[in-house]
Amino acid sequence: MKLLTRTTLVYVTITIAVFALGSWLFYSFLNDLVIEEATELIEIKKDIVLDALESDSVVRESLLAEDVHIIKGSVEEYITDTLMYDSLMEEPVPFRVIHFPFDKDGIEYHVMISRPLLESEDLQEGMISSFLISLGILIVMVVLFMWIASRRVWKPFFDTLAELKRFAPGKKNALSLPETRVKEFRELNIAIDNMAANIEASFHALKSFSENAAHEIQTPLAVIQSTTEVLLQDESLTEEQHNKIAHLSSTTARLSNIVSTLLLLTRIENKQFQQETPIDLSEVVNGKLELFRELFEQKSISLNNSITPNIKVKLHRVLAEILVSNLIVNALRHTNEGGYAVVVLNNSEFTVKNSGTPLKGDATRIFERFYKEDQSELSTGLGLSLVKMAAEASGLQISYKFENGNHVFSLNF
Amino acid sequence: MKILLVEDDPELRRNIRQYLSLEGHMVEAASDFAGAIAKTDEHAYECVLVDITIPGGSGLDLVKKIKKDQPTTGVIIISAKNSPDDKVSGLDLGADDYIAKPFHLSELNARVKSLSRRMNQSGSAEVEAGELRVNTDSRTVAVNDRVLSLTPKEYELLLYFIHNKNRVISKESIAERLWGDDISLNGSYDFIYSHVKNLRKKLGEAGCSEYVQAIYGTGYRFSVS
Repeated sequence: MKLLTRTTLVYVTITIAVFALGSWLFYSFLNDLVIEEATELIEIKKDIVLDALESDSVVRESLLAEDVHIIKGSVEEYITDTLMYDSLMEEPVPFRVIHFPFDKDGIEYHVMISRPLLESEDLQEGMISSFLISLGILIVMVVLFMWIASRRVWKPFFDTLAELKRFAPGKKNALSLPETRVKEFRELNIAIDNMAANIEASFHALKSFSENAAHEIQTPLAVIQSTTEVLLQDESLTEEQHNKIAHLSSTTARLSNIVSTLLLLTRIENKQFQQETPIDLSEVVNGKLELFRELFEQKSISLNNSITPNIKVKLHRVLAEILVSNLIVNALRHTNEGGYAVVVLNNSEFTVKNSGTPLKGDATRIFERFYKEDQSELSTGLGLSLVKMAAEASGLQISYKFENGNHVFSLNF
Repeated sequence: MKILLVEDDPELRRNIRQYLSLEGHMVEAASDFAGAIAKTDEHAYECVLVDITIPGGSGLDLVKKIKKDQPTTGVIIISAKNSPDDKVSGLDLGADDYIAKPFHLSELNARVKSLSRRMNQSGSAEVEAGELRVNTDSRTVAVNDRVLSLTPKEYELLLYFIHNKNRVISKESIAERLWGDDISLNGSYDFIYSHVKNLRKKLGEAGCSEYVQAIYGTGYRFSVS
């Protein structure tokens, strides 16, 4: 729910409640006033009637009009409200009635004087309609005001929000939050600025740490690598010594691979491979197919491909090569001898399919770093996570499924 | 060939010198920026190997200076910063090649050789090894005027062997040479075996069967003697 809708709703609810309470209070106050007034009038009339009853009959006749009734009988004085049929209105109408005793010539009389009350129903109706009209006007005004005001009042907030959405650490365009005179927004902007500076600083620290760590490892690796190579040239080595050194050399190669792949992953994460213009993916795929074709042949894997020429995709060349070559090498590794692999590139996707048996482990973990189906494998377990990272950094979708006896990797663009 | 090596790590410096000297190259070494400047001011080198991160300055500035003073000197950058940007800026400054640490000495040696062949414009595109005559322009190999039918990978493999003749070359080094970084994620290097086997078969048919020897099953050595 939008903030504006929410505040408006709260506002409207409160307004309605206040109006309801107000009109009830106003109504009961007015009602009391009307009754009090009627009572006062009726008591004045009582005095007049009493005076008249004492006096001569002519006056009495004129006074004892419709609203005065006299019957024989004794009564204690009391005031009551009652409904009486009104001949003019042709409906029962509330009256304020005073009953009191009158004693003349030893005979007791029961006198009733009635007086119509202002009809409370009419009062209610009038009040409700006038209150509803003003309530309606108020609500319309509130909503209108809120919409207009919120655009202005919340503008700095929305500007800040737009800036934040644009913000990514490590990018050249730093955060520039709008100036505002509102204290809360100013504080918010200061807090965000500080936070962004912290994020930026940690980001750079982490980035330079991973890069420096990787670089610092490269030279010692180069020393080990070159030393094993120099040692291998020694003619006097026994077979055992030779094999140990060769093993050292291949282990160093693996280690060096892990390091450079991790460095590459860091670089991709740091968005160092951004591409603005599309590249020819068909060319990349054909190049990699050419590079690996002989290896497929050697393993007796039939390699089929259908590459639509001139497929342009917005993708950095380094990432394109990583994606294509890792997927192809993955197929090469995991296809059994005599199996088949199919590579397809068209307008919407790049697919690498190869025959094989279903995964033993969890297929959803296939793109995780260092995840291996079989821990004894010589692979680094980084190839597919590199693929996923490269795809995501380029805004492309990579997916895996096992279908009809085939492992299928699809890259959608 | 006279080579200058600019590298601050003493052990790596010694290994590179030792490996390249086996070939008969004269390798001089400098460990920092000032030393490298002094050497290049005094002598003319056919090839300079420059580490980008050296004490006292940037290897990139050194590349710029060498290319300005001695345009005919071949320059290969050796870098621990294996980043595409770094490579591009190095090559933009005029460096002829770029090799990332860690590297195989056999790879560095092959790069030096092919650079020297490219720099030496008057020289022929022919490389000879025993009975073999390799034409690097047409990428063909002939034995006694009979052209061998090699696949592109076999040609590259043979040229790599010739560049590193009389050395033991590891399988990893061959795999990286032929398939680049891509294949190293593959783990096993068994596929090298069948490539070498095919090459040996073709050489054998042409009467050069003894050229490629397997060394204890872990590496290979090419020799013509």
